Amino acid sequence: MAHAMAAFTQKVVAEVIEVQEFPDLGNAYQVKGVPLTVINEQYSFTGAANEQMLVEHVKKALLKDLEGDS
Amino acid sequence: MQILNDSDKEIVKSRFENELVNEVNITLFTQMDLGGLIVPGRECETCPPTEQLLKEVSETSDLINFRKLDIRNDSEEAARCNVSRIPSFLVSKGDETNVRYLGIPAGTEFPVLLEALVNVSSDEPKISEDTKGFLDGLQEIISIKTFVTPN
Repeated sequence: MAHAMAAFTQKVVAEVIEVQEFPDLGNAYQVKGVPLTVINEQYSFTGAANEQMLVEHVKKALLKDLEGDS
Repeated sequence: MQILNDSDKEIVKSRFENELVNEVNITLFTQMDLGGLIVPGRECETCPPTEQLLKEVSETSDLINFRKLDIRNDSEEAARCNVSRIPSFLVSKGDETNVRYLGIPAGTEFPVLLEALVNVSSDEPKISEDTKGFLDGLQEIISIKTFVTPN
């Protein structure tokens, strides 16, 4: 789903990471269950998300960024 | 060794005939074949099967261009694409670098590869008008990383 958004706009950078091949990244991002989605390095959620859910998560992540900046 | 069997290939081929619109590139960053040499620190168990799988997928449609780069010899392009690990590949129409995959898209992740190719190739990625509106309004670049395992 994130790839579809990235296909639409270069404002989205979407990366899928196969965590068994890159356990150091799994550790760095504290992956305990999959799929784990991390938005802007700070906001994360576990579990599959449809398009609408992903958009809602992105909105929450942006709010968190704003809070972090203030 | 072939990864996709003939029946899988036919399914992929038929889907791409219907759904690919424009040319699409797969750029794989990997390492050159060391000819069986094992160089400590340079092991990459999934590099050969990832290359093989992406090659086989690219052979199912004339619209897919497959390019293989070496993480060390092509270090400038790796830097431009912000790639530091292998195997790693990008799906793009031109030189954009924002549809990315680290590792081998096998098992349950294989459809993710097909979707990425279809979406990038399309003039209309499969997302709703509402989502497009939201994305158009973004003021900054959003990074979305999804960690998966191929079950």
